[in-house]
Amino acid sequence: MPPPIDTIRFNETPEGVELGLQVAGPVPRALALLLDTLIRAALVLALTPLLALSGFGLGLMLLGFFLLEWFYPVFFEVRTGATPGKSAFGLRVVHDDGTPVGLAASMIRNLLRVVDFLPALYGAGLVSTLVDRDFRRLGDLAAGTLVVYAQGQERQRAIPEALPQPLPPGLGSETQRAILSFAERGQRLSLARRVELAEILTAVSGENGELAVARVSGWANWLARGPGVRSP
Amino acid sequence: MELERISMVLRPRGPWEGLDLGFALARHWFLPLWTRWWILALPAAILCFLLTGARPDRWLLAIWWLKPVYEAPLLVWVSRALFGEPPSLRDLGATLGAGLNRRLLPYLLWRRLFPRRSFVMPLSLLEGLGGRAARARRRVLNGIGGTPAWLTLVCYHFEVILWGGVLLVLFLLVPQELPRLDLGAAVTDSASWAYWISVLAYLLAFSVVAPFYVCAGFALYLARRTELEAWDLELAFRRAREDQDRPRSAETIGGAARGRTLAAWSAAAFTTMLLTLVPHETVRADLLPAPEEARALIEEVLEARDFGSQHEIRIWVPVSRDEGAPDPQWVLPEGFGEAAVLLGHFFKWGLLGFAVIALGLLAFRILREWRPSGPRRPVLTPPLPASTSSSLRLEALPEDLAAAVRASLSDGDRRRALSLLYRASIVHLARLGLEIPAGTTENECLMLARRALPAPMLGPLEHLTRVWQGLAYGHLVPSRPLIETLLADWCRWTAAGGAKQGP
Amino acid sequence: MKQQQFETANTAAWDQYRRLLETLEGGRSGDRAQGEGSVDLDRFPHLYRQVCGHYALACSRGYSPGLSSDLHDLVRRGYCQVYRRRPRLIQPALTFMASHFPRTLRRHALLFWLAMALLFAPMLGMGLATHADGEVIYSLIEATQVAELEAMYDPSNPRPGRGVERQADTDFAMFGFYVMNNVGIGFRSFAGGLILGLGSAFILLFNGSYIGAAAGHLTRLDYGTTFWPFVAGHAPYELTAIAISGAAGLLLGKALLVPGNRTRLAALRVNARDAILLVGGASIMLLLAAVVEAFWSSGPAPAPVKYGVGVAGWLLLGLYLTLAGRGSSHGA
Repeated sequence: MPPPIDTIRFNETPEGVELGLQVAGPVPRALALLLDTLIRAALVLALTPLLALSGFGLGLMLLGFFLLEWFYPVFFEVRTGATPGKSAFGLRVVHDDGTPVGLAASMIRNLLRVVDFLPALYGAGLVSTLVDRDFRRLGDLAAGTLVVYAQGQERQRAIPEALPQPLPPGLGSETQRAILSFAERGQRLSLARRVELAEILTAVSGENGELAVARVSGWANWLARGPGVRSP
Repeated sequence: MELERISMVLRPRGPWEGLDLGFALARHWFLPLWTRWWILALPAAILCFLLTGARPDRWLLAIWWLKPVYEAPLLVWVSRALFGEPPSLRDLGATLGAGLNRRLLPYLLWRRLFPRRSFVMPLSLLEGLGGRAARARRRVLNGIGGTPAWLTLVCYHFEVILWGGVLLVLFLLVPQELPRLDLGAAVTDSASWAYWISVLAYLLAFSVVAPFYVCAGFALYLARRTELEAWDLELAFRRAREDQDRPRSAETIGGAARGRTLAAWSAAAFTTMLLTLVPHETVRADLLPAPEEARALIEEVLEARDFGSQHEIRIWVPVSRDEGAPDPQWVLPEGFGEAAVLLGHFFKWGLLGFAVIALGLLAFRILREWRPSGPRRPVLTPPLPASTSSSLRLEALPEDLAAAVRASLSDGDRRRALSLLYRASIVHLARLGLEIPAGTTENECLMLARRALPAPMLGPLEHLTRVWQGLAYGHLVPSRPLIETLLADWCRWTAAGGAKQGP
Repeated sequence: MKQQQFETANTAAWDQYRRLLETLEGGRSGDRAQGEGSVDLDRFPHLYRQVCGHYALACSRGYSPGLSSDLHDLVRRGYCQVYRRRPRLIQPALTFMASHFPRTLRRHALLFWLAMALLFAPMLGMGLATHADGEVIYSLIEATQVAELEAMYDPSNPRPGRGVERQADTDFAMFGFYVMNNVGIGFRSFAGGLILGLGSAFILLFNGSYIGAAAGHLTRLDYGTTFWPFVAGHAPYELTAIAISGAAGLLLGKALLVPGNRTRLAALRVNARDAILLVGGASIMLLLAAVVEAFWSSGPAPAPVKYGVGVAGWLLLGLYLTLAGRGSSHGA
């Protein structure tokens, strides 16, 4: 059986832990690109008043165009890890080992944008992101970079206190994690839904309704806090 | 349904990540999805061709309008493949039957232009909901924000980009001698042959994007259910339950699963087991309050802060301006032009100066680095062999080495004594003119010395190296007399070497 | 150890780690945090490794997914801080130009000469052809452009609007134009290499033919007295830099066509790393060429001086590319 499909790439750090990188797909990247294009266009417009300075202003304006055309992404990626458009979608550019992108890799991936743009409007880049497992465009492939989500989701994670109850035998580690997750995320579900979920597990012992929820919370407390007597 | 064979990782995801997972799924199953798209689209295209009287523009419109017809079976296929049982081509009839039912009809009529089409399709086709229940359920799921609409919009543009790309490549790659593709006609003139090519390119683009669109909508739906209903937990719990039940009734479950029809299967997997908004058999009656109470309760819940949401909206309102006021005139101040010229001069000389300074620095740097490889002065404090430096503290060697070694010996620190002695002999080698590059190991160091110096000048080096290696790598601490012998040899060696080097 | 004990035991460390992370992420350069937090910052790597250990423990002991993902987040943020590469500009730029760039170029000397040939062979050919026959140029360049070219270098044309007092002003505009145009060409001829090297080859051939045609045609019209002194000064840097950019593109193409013992993707990565060094060096050379072209070539110096500067430029450039970076710091 092949490994289950996910958009996370694991990368082992020198410290020996597996670091998950959540690669970003074509849709958020296309929208980020659109946003960047708009920002760039606005900056180009903002440069035009320089023409009032005649020849000198024209020179400055052309230099500005040059910088905007080639170095707008490089500048932001090296400084903050993402262009403003990407930041707006919570994306970051990293090397494929997860480290923040450096000058050389950023230059490669952004100069090769020209090829990704071919034949029109990033056609080559689109095909490449659809074909590649990590949604990389040609520039990313050559530079060895990935576009990933910067932040994991903010999760509320407090396991509500309940009287710890020992777990029935035969629940694997996966199920134990699910029970803990149930306790952590339960607050965001409706009561009826919580009851329903808990009843799946407690069907054997026969608890129903809120008793089932209390039972599963008890298990979660047992797992997280041990059998110790809680302070009232 | 074998829950443990689910072929994607279940966990809570944000909407965008949900989309990405859909793209990954579509990429994984692209070929089966793509062929299944064509299996329905090709007959439909031929039918439309006949019905529209071979008018390419109408033909394309008809094919485009019928897109949900080809997409529905893809959705059914993915929903089964997700649990490790992708329907084969032999099950085609069943897949089509499950996909093309009366719930699809709205998607071909008023919901065809609905921007969240692929996101709400699983609701109708897999959950089999209709009427008020479906409306209520849609309202809940729709709280996800604009992502499903963006998906539709972006996928539409992906089609356009692929279509334009194919046309442009055809245009550029056909040699000039052959009849060239007329790009203008390909877009506007529906009577020309170029238009047919353009239409076919569009059809190709549809077929390529469709699997991604369907899977992304489906994955988004799953992400939303995971967030709202902890669908991942439900599956995990069910799996645990199945594991517990299996020993008792493995055969009956297996038989039942095989006997199920596809439609019933997808309903079992995706029907929501309970939602306050959807009446369902598993809602326990004793948990529900009486209708009047319920109404009050609902009001109360609706009033509560964490139920609804407040948005602060800022909009631009035109500020009224007197019509009579003259428009502000953009007048460049006096001397603006001169200032520009002055700035021009300043930058010109600045740039020239910068270039000259940079070139000068560069030249200086190159000349400094570019020393022809003549005889080099011996390095006085050579870098220690890397492998030894890690096991030693890097302090300066004491002036009177013999005394320091003896002191360490009398302290009982034989390791320190030997390390001092070894390092001192390396320094002595350097003094004899041997060049020891950084990162040399003890063995390499010994070999370098053997090659560069005659055997009598090596002194106790070989013995010393072996003893040191034994200590550093094997933790074989040498005896005190052995170290003292080595020290004596070392003293004789350095005295002799020093005499030779001396003036 | 149960999860709660684990959390209580380590919360203090996590909080400290989090504070340090915020300092590091907030201040762009680490220098600013020198003041009060520098002692703490020394502890950061230690804390980072500790948190890594905690994360591994949380995974293997089956603590709750929420805790694991929190710790994962902490590890990820710390990883970015510990392993980030901070680009510094002036000093490394000098080292780069003084040794890395010429060394890298010499490593790919064959491709460089191939690119030079692709640039200069058509230049020479078109130059001779247009010099011999006045019609050849129109097969490559449009008539209006030819007319503009002629007007630009017509010796009898005193360059309207380029009086002495406006000189600096216009020069700067031209500088901007040269930078945008020439460095852009350099970048494109690099990027074109990803199309199996064809894009680079095409840009080199086209630019070679264009320049050759213009030179031959103008010389034929006896406009050489204005054309040659103008181009003499910056030609060495500009032409060589374009060829180097092209060579960088060919390097990408080579990775795809002849990957050797690597996979195509791995070869592309390796070659792209060298190629971007070449492009970086070439673009610095093009900047220099733009300065020379805008402020010196259009200047009033007499023709022999300009020729002299041109010859000196070729010599110095040749010396630089062959000899620089052969120094003692090899292998360092």
